[in-house]
This record gives sequence, structure tokens and C-alpha cells, in this order.
Amino acid sequence: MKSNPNIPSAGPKPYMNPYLAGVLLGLVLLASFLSLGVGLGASASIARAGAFVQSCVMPQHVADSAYFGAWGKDPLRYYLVFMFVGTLLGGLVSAIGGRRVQPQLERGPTASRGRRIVMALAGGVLAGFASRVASGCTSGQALTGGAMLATGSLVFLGAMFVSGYAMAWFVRRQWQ
Amino acid sequence: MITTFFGQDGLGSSTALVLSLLLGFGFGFALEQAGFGSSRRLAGIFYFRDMTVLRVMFTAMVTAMLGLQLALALGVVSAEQIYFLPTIYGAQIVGGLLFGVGFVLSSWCPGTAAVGLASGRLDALIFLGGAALGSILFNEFYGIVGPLATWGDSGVKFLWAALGVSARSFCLDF
Repeated sequence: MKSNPNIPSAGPKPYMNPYLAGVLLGLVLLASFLSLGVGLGASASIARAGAFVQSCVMPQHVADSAYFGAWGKDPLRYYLVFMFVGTLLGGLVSAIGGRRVQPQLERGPTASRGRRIVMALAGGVLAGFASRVASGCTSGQALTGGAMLATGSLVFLGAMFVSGYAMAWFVRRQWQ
Repeated sequence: MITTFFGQDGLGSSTALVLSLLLGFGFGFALEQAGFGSSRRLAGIFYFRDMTVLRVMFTAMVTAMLGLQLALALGVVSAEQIYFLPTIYGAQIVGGLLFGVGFVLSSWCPGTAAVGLASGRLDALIFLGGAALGSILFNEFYGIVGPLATWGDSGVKFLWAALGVSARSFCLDF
């Protein structure tokens, strides 16, 4: 379907060229290296949000716990939490600009809502747990450590794709 | 010569927090522009339907790698000013394997789910809730699983050193 350039189209705009988007992402990471002195990250802020919510319900338990307790009384005052808020805002501005804000549960054309919800939740629990084991996720380990050529982060990247591709066939129905 | 916030132990300062917010904005903007705000698109890599995600990721890694090595070689920044991630084989292998399963099940990872949520994706919100729960479980069972996070700690290690070449010649080969 061709659109008339004189009439504003209501559909989403196309994405950026992948190599251009990659260079942009790489420059943001480089800027982080040269100003903060650390790379980008996302999973630590989710863990800290979890610690914050849990401490609202059971403050003493969280304060006494070995892992969350080390983050102190205010786990949200941390640079990666601010980075995550920025990531949300940057994503929002880009999605609005590209007319790509579409409230929906993304799934395959014949997949049930229930299946997709269970998959997203189970995958989230696993990814959240795994990112604490590895002290990072796709952002903080694979991308940041990969750009540093850190051996262990490249091992993380490899391991992530090995198990991802090994499991892909078993969970394909949510996209069918 | 750049003094980074990490170098002066200032990552907790208000300036660093504002800077993190701005860098996060650029991060989220680039991720969304690349199409990472859609789980269907992210799932495409695992079924060889859409390899755009890998192109973006690899281009970003090479761009930042070359920029960092150039900055180090020109003396714009010294290595002491950068926090280099340690290699912890056990943690990164076990964590990586578990993470990959979580990634393919949900078709999200933490950073992409942030831009997915910004794009209105309900499955991204569910993923983020699950990831917070997974982090809480890690804390609750820290006595048992905690040692995993430091298992095989080998300090800072670089791939180019493992291959027996210098950082400069490794990067020039690209």
C-alpha cells in the first residue's frame, strides 16, 4: 500500500536502518564509558524496584537480608535506576514520534492470551533470577562487557544464545 | 584526560544520577528506533525470521569497542577510569544459560522490556513484574544460590589477551 506523502498516514513509521541504529546505540554506550566510567544496564534497577516493593511490605526482613540488605534504606537512589527511568522516557518519545505506541498483548495470530501471559511471566522470573546470578543482563553483560571484550561477558552472550536457540522450538506456539 | 564519575567514586552524586537519566534516554531512544519495543520482532532472532536485532547489537558493540580502544590508545581516558567487568566463569555460564531460556520464553530482556512497556506492550509489563519477582527469589534463597554469583571468579580478563594478541591488533583486524 502506497501512501500519499501529502496526507499524513496514521500507521506506524518504519524503524531506523539497523546499522544506523547500531551506531547510535554504540555511541550512547561509548558516551557512558567516557563520562560515567561504566556501561549501560537495565536489570539492576528491576531488582532494586523489587527490593523497594518488598521493603514496603516487610521492611525488617529486607534490611536483614544478605543481598538486598546491602543496598541500604533507599535502594532506588542508584545510577542504574535513573538510567532505567531514562530508558523508559527515551523509548516513549521514540515510540510516540514513530506512531508505534500500541497497547496490546503481543502474541502469534492463533496463540491464546493465557499462553502468552504464562510465557512472559515465567520468562521474566527466570531472566530476573539469572541476571542476579550473572550480575547483569543483555545490556550490562552482553552489550557492555562485549564492547569491552571482557571474556566472561562474551561467555555470557554465547551461553545465552545456546540455551535460547535450544529452547526456541519448544516455546514456538506462542508466535504461531 | 577524562576523569569519569567511576574514577572519582562519584556514581552516587546527583550529577551522575542526572547524567545516567540522560544516557538512559539515549539508550531507550536507540532501542526503540531499532525496533526492540516489539516482542514479536525480538522473537524473530530465535526462529531466523528477523535478524535485524543481531545486526543492531553487533554494530553497537563494534562501534563502542573501537571508540573505547581509540580513546584508551590516544590517552583521552586511562584504564583506571573505567569499570571493566570481571570474568566470573561459573556465574556467567549458569546465568547466561538461565537468561537465554528466560529470553526465549518471554521474548523480552530487561532493557527491551522497558521500551516495550513505553510502546504499550502488556507482555513487557508482565515480564518486568516477573523479573522483579525473580530478583526477590534470588535474595530469598541467597544462602543457597549466592555462591553461584562468585563461582569461578577470575578477575578482569580480555578476549584479546586470551588469544595472545594486543588490544590494538585485535581491533585493527575488524
